[in-house]
This record gives sequence, structure tokens and C-alpha cells, in this order.
Amino acid sequence: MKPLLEVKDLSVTLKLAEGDLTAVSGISLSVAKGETLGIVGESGSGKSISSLAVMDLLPKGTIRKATTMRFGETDLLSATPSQMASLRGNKIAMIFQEPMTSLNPVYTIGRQMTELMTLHKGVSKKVATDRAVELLEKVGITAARSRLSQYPHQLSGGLRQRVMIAMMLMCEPELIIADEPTTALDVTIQAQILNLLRELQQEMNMAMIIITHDLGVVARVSDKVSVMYAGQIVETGSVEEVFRHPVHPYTQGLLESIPVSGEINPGEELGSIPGLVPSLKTNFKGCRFANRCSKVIEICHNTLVDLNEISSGRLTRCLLSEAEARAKLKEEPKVLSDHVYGSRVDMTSAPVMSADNAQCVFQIKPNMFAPKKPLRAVDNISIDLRKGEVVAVVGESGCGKSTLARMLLGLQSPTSGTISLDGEDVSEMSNVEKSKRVQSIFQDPYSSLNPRRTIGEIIRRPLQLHGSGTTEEQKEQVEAIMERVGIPRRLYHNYPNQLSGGQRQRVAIARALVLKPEIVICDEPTSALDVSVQAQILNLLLELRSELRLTYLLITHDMAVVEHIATRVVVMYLGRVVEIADARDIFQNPQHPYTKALLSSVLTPEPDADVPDTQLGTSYPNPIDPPSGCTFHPRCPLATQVCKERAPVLSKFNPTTEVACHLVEAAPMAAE
Amino acid sequence: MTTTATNTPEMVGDIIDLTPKERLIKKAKVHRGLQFGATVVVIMTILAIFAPLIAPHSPYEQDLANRLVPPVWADGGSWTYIFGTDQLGRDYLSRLIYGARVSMGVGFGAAALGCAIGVTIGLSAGYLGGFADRSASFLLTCQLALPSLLLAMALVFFVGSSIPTLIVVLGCLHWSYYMVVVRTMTRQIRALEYVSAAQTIGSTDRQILFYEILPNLFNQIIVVFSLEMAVVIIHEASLSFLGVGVQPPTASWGLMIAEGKEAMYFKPYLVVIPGTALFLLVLAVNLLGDGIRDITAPESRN
Ligand SMILES: Nc1ncnc2c1ncn2[C@@H]1O[C@H](COP(=O)(O)OP(=O)(O)OP(=O)(O)O)[C@@H](O)[C@H]1O
Ligand code: SF4
Ligand code: SF4
Ligand SMILES: [Mg+2]
Repeated sequence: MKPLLEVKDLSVTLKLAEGDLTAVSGISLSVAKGETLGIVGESGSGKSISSLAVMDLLPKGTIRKATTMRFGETDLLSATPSQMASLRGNKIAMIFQEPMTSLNPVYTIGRQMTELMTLHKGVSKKVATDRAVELLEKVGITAARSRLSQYPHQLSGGLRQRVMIAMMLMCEPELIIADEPTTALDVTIQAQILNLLRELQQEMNMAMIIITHDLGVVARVSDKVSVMYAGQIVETGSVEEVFRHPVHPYTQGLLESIPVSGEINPGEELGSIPGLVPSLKTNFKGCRFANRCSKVIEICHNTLVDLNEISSGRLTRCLLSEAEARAKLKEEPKVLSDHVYGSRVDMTSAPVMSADNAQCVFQIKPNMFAPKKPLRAVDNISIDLRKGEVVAVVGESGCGKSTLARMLLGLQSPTSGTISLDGEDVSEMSNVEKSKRVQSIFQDPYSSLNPRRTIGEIIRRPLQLHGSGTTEEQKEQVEAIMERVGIPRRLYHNYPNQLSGGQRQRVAIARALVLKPEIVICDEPTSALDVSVQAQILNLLLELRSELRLTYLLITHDMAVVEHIATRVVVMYLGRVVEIADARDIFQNPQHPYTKALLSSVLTPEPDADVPDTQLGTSYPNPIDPPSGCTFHPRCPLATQVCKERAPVLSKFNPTTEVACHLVEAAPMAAE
Repeated sequence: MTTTATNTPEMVGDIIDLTPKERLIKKAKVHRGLQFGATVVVIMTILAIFAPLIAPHSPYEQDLANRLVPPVWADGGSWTYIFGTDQLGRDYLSRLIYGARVSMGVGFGAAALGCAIGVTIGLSAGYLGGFADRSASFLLTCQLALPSLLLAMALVFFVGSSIPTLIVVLGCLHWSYYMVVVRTMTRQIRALEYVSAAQTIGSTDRQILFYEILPNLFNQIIVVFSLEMAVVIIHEASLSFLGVGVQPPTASWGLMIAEGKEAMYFKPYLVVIPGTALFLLVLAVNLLGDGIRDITAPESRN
């Protein structure tokens, strides 16, 4: 069958002030009707530029070259701007990462949806409205007709993405290009959106290109996959083949970098790809992956590598033969923690840090004229942290994880309840005293370092504030810790914006550890990083933990990360704890319906598995108007009448597990 | 171990290891605007400070025999009076050199005073929020509602004009831009994670303000300073022009323009010369401000 979209040897050169940057060099793609192509790659690998090139949406002055670019019967290389405009949104639809920026905030959803159709298809307003309602229903939006008069900001992220999809379908496109369609969404919503896309695609026999950095997403939804690295495709093939038998060393490394649920021994080193993606301004003389490749040989550095076909439809860009490339050179995975430290935490010992009925209520004005309403970001939470534990706090965006972390750090004072360190109330301690014992690593390494201070200054600052040692001694300590966390010495006088995300996160880790704290609170320490770098940082955190005898509180939404390093897990929903249990129990025997849903939405890169159906009907509730009774009841598949009326309390299910659910409460023995 | 420095392949020699100071000097060496601005400002400052040594004649001495001698490049000009003389026969070059004292003194003084006031108010309003912020906004509204030139005139008129009075009055009337810029920026920066990080490593509020936030406002403050300085100099000129600034026979560039205006149509140099000096100073200060901003900005990787 002739593919619907065919692109051969596409190169894109961006004209920047500092010179040319070839963001994409010589990539070829094809996708047929009813087929899904996945493009994976880390940030900056040229994924999005490729799709923009196909849509002819590149910035002005960009040079686009290709030998073939064909969509259906149209030659995209010679198409006029007006021809392209009529293709876009009509035959080719695009879904972007952030639904808020791609919907116009000043028009109602109805207007945005119908306008597209009346414009492109010239049908009447009435026909268009009917179709809009039909499509909104199809993408699972209830009370569709009434939604038409709503504005985008009145909808939640998940709903907006659904609206966006419905809008794309208005003109019955033949090809959908989805650029990170679920990255901005929570895992439970992600699964729903992916399922929706898949169903619609099969039903309408559309071609689809999914661009993402998430191997789990690609594995579950696409038929073919292309792996991009530094502007080139390094491996292409069917999903089955690529994920089961990766050939290119980069693909192999990527797959080893992600913790896969069920296959992890906590504390074991993750495979990681050392180093960084090279700058695209480099004049490459050899394999672009050579500086990070574990199988690199002499000629890799000075031979330009072509894509070679190793079997039908299966291409890879490596000088090694298939067998050589696949040969395992890794010895058994190393165990990072000594397995003594933290393996048996004495749960009867006094907690090093604890939150006791901590509550944080913000007074929010829902809109300009409405009176202030309380928003319970954290609602009566009690947590104990014991020496040597790694406690993970998980939950959807907005459930209060970060607020909890800020309270524990003393950055936000609780509206009621107390936070204590070794039994002392934190609110009575000075910043300096606290900082000796508790340190933090923040989510975004781009905003957690002061852009005006050099790396050396940033890491030395805590020592300065605490007045420990002479300047010379401080410098020595800084250099020692830099070496330990893997920041090259030559970066001492550099500014943060000269570093990559991974390097910055290492600086943040160095700053947190230079005071030798006992407890480190990490708020999503890896979520802003690329997959391969994420593994480097997780490994580092694990190593440091047993070396420096640290206790971690780790906030994350990534269940695979939790399984990899946590000893105990706290599951939060709408400001409350719904389940606390040992990590092993959570994964093997989750009790709370929400924990179960959360776990089942995790997408591990298994090519033949489907996107799970989480059965969480509606989306995350508005925390200003929490549902009555058990706040989870509108989404809970097991909800009963009593759930709507009475809130369950957190109670012991077994010696190490606490659950807040009426059903679990009622039959504690049944599950045994 | 895969995560230590030894195994992390370095990027192809893209970052040079210079200390911040070395980097600053290196950038300053290639920045033409900065060099021009700095040169002009330095020369004018030297002229102003050493005016008695440099000026060829007394700026006050009248020589009615030599009234309105044209400058050296015009017909009838002579090297004795390079820039000619004014209506009272005073050497125009000497007046220009002495005038630099007033114009630059008032310019730098008032801009610096305004900067101190505006930055302080802006920082506290932005960092503390709440009541401090509302009070600051109220102050700002009052300041904006008053016609500042008129107010300056009235104040100077009542207090009596002297250079310190001018500096204080103009300084107190030119802080609003600093405040608006600083307040907005402070609010933004306050919400960033590096401020939280500074708190968790034990910084006090004062340390956060001065070590973390203020250095990040430096660029904006410099730019506002160079703009405000130009405005203040012109303001001083208009006050002197209106007769409430510095009093004759003291020379100031504004006053020189004011005095020259009657003869402007047949002796244009009387206005053109001090006008050019004023223009050059304002231009130089702006270029200097931009230049300092450019060389102190931490450069990025790409
Ligand atoms: N300073 C504040 N003022 C008002 N509301 C706030 C404030 N900080 C947080 N909130 C609200 O409190 C709730 C919990 O926020 P929090 O940042 O703790 O969520 P989170 O679980 O960390 O989410 P994410 O995963 O997106 O980081 C949210 O509804 C948020 O809008
Ligand atoms: S060509 Fe060489 S460096 Fe590149 S991926 Fe293959 S083995 Fe590694
Ligand atoms: S209490 Fe009811 S609604 Fe809440 S989780 Fe349990 S079963 Fe579901
Ligand atoms: Mg958060």
C-alpha cells in the first residue's frame, strides 16, 4: 500500500544569530492510513521540528530540504502557502502538548470548533454545531451541548485536551500529528486520552504520528517507531522489534534507563547513558552518539554513519553489525546501596521528622467578585520519617504534594498542626538550625539556581551562611562535593545557564549535601530531565544515600521511580492521605481503589500490552469544591451511598499499611 | 561508576574556564558602545572636576568688548575663544566646562537618589507584599498624579535654589520607574525556586534580598538609571531655563541654552554647543548603561 505521508531525506537548518543550526538532518518517514508511527527522542533531538517541517510551520528564514515530501497526491515541497493552509486543520490535524496555549482563550469552545468547519468545508452553522456536539460526546465529554458555550479556562487539563482532539476531528483529517499529547497530563488522564486517540484512529482509519519522549506511550500505541538522536533517526522498525530487540546502542541504553515496574530490585543501579547530547552546532565527523556509546570503537569517531537496513523495514545507524551491537557487555547490574543501610528500618524508633495533623488552607478568590473560599491544599496529614527511610509521596498534580514538602521544609507554615524535627517544633527553629538537618532538591533545575551566581558561589553559599571554615577550606569542600556528584571542576566559574538540565540538577544536589544534612526532601527531582539523564540522577541519589546515611522524602508522580527507590509510599488524593504502606506491599497488594487505578495507569514500555483502562470516569475535581464524603467517590468504581455521605478515616489495615476507604475498612481480613 | 565525573564525557571544548572578572574584562574589550560611552563620561567627569585648571578663562568674567565672538570655525572666530563668547562676552568654552559640574552633578546625584528611593520601595513592596505593597502603590499613585516639573518649580522656588536642593528635589521626584520595575521583578523572582532554596540553606530575608534578588535586578536598574539620568539632566536644564534652577552667573548647560535662546536665530552656536554637549552626555550614559548590562549578563551555552 502506498503510504499516505512520505518524507525522504528531510533536513532543516535554522538560522540563528550565532550561525546555522541543522536541527534535523536527513530523516525519512512514512505512514499509511490506519497506521501509527511513533517518534521518540530526548529534548532537542529534533522531533518537533520534523513535524513542523511537514506542516510547513517552521519559523521564517528556516531552510527546509528534502528529496520527497508527499501527502496523498499533494507534493508538499511545491505546494503554495494557500494550499498548505487548506491542508492544515483540514486533511492534517495537529495536537500540541499544552492544550491551553493551542485553544484561543477569548472564544468559546463552540465557536472555535464550528468556525473551523464552516471555514474549511463551507457548511452551515447548524450542521457544524451538531457535528461538534457529536464529537464532544465521542471524546467522552458529558453534557456536550452545554460545554459549547464554555471558555477553555473553565475546563480541566484533561477536558481541554479532549476538546482539542474533538476539534481536530471536525474536518475528518486523514493524518493526525500529536506532539507530546499527554505530557502535560496526569497518568490517569494520560491513559484515557491515549485510549481515546487509538480508538478514534482505528474507527476513522486515520494515519497518526505520535511524538514523545515517553517510551511507554510509544510502546503502547504505535505500530512503527523511529528513534531520534541529535537530529538523526538512529533506529526504525516495528514497535515489537525495536523494543524487544533493540540494535542501536542508544536505543538499548534508553530502554535500560527506565525503571520497569515489576522487574526492579529496589536499590539496583539503572542502566544509564553517561554524558550529554552533543550540541547540534558541532561539525560532526563521526557517529553522533560516539561520545556516549558504551560500544564505541576507534572508527566511530571519524566515519559518518548511514542508516543500514538490517531486515525489511528495520534500519539502524551504527557501524557495528547487528550481532556485535547486541552483544551484552554489561556485567550484572551493580547494587548501589549496601543493602544494610536502610534495608531494615526500625519502625519503633523515634521519627527524625514528623508531621502531626498538619493542615494548610489557602484562602482563594474563585473569581473577581466571589468571596474568598478556603482551599485545603493539605488536609490533616500525619507522616513520620524514620532514619534511613525513603518515603515517596505520590499523587496527581494539585493534590498537595509540593505544599506538603514546603511545610516540611518550613517554607510554608501549617495553618494548624505541627511539623517537628527529632521532636522539636520546626516553627521555633531558625532557618540556619533547620538547614543543618533538612535540605531540599527542587523540581526545576532551571529555576532553582540563581542565574547571577556562578556554580562555585552557589555550592559554597550554604557554607558561607553557616560560617564553617575559612574561604580556602570552603573551596576545598566545594570541589570535593562537585567531584562526588560529577560536576567537572572547570565549571566552577560558570553560570547556571551554561549547564545542561542534568548538570544543573547535580549542582542542586551538591548544594543540598554540602552541609551534610540528615534528611533530604526531593520534590520531583527528575521530572524536568530527559530519560537517560533521569537515570543518572536517580543512581546518584541512591549512591549518596547509603554513603552519607541520608533519609529521603521523595515527591513524584512517576510510579516506576517510586518502585525503584522507595521503601515506604504515601498516596495522596486531594490533600489527604488515602494509603500508606511499604513499597513492596503497594505494588504487590494495593488496597485503596485510587492506588490501584494509579498503578494500573503506569505505561511501561511493553510493546504488546494495551493502554490500560483505568475506569476513572471524570477528571480530577476542583480542590475549591471538593466532593462530599470520600472525595474520591465521583471517580471510584466501587463507590457506594455511604461513600458520598461520610469521609473514611485512615486506619490500620495491617501492621504496616494504613488505608482510608470504607470498603477496605469493612473487611480488613477478607483480603488476607 | 557511571555517574562520576571521570566517566562523563566532556562537551567539545565549548566553555572556557575564566573567572567572572576575567570574563568581564574580555567582554568589555570588544564592546564598542561601552567603550565610547565610558570614554565620553570619563572625559566629561575630568573636565568637570578639574574645571578651574582646564578652563582657559574665567566663566564669570565679562568682557563687553568681546561680546558674541563666534567660535573658531566660523568667520571672525579666533583661538582665544574657541567656542566664542556669549552676550556678556564670557568665554563659552569655560562656561561649558564649568556647566558640566552642575549638569553632571545634578544628573548623577538626583538619579542616584531616585534610584535609592525607588529600589528600596520596590524591593520591600515586591518582597513583603500585602500592606507594604498597598502602601507603595498608594505612594506611587500620588507621585504620578502630581505634575512633577511644576512641583519641582514650586519647591525650588520656596526652598531657594542651590545645587543640593536641586539634587534632593529632582531625586525625590524621579523614583517611580525604579520602583515599578523593581517591584514587578521582585515579585516574579520571589516565587522562583532559588529563593526557596536560599531559605532552606538558612538565608535570612535580608540575605535573600541582597544576595539572591538584587543582583538579578541589576540589569533593569542600570537601564532605568541611564534613562533617568538623561531625564534629570534635561529636567535641570528646563528648571534653569525657566529661571528656578541654578542662578546666573553660575553656568549650567540648561542655563546656557536658556540664555542663548534670544540670540538663537542669528547666533545659533549659543544653543547648539551646550545642546550638543547635553546630547553627547545623555547618549554616552545610555551607551554606558547598555554596555554594563551586556557585559555583566551571564552568557548562555547556546
Ligand atoms: N500559595 C498558594 N496560594 C493558593 N493556592 C495554592 C498555593 N500553593 C498551592 N496552592 C493550591 O494548593 C493545591 C495543592 O498544590 P501543590 O502545589 O501542593 O500540588 P502538587 O501536588 O505539588 O501538584 P504538582 O504535581 O502539579 O506539582 C493546588 O490546588 C494549588 O493550586
Ligand atoms: S557507530 Fe560506533 S559510536 Fe555510533 S552507535 Fe555504533 S558503536 Fe556506538
Ligand atoms: S470510600 Fe468509597 S468512594 Fe472512597 S475509595 Fe473507598 S470505595 Fe471508593
Ligand atoms: Mg509540585
